[in-house]
Amino acid sequence: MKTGVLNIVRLIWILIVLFLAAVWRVEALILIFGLVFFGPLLRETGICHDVDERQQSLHWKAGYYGFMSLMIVLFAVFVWNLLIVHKELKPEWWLLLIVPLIVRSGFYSWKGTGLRRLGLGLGFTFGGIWTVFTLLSHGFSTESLIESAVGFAILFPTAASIRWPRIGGLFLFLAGIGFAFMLIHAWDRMNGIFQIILMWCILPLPPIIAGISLFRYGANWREEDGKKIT
Amino acid sequence: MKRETRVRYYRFLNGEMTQAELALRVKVSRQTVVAIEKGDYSPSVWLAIRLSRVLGAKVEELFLLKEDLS
Repeated sequence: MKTGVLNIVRLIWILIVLFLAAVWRVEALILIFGLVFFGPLLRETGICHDVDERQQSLHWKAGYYGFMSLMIVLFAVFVWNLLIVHKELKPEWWLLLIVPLIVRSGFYSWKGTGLRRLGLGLGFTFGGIWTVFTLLSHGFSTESLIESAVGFAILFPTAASIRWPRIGGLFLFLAGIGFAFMLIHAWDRMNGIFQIILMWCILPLPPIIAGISLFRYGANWREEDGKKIT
Repeated sequence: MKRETRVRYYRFLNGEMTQAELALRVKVSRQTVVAIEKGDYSPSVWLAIRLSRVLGAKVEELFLLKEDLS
């Protein structure tokens, strides 16, 4: 697929948006933002070959600067609201902060340092954040000990994965599945779709991804080295 | 950091091949050829090999290290 075809796809999208804005509601014009997805999605999936290697590297570099700009803006928004005017932020703001950070650091860990680092990084980061958050919220009490069980349920298997990646990975995966069931049961108590997505991003998904990564790492390591590690 | 390249020199040795023609033959944009000639962009090893084949020169004749210049 060359530039011409991609431009036709973009043109069709623009026409659809204009049609929706005309017959439905003018706010449908916001869908014009969808244009930013076509190029990267079709290029990264290998369907579209409209740029050469220099242009592709420029796209990646531009994406990096875009990410950094987003983080600077979010940093300002969070500092202003949470520290200066003491205002709670809606879940969508936390989503804006967390999703790009997870994707960026997760992708770098996976491609740059491998599945083991990705699994351990996710497990220790999210387990640590959950534990510290609950301890700081309730102090050192029985209540906080019970609530920090979520963090320990991630931290312990992650720590075990250092020596036994397949067993630790399996327990992490099971912990993630357990959290997923908890969230499904608490569905009606959630405050809107963004809170649901946020909770999935910070509770079941990290241990599930970490568990799969560590299990896969453990399986490959055993095959490659011929050592029994479990 | 600017890099020393002799792509332009070898392009002229090849019957004054235009940037557009070279770009077409190595399957990149003309702007990429311009960037390579100016030393603003270092091509991948695969593109460097394609350039060397089209221009009839070795890769190390097209792209020079600092120590080669002295």
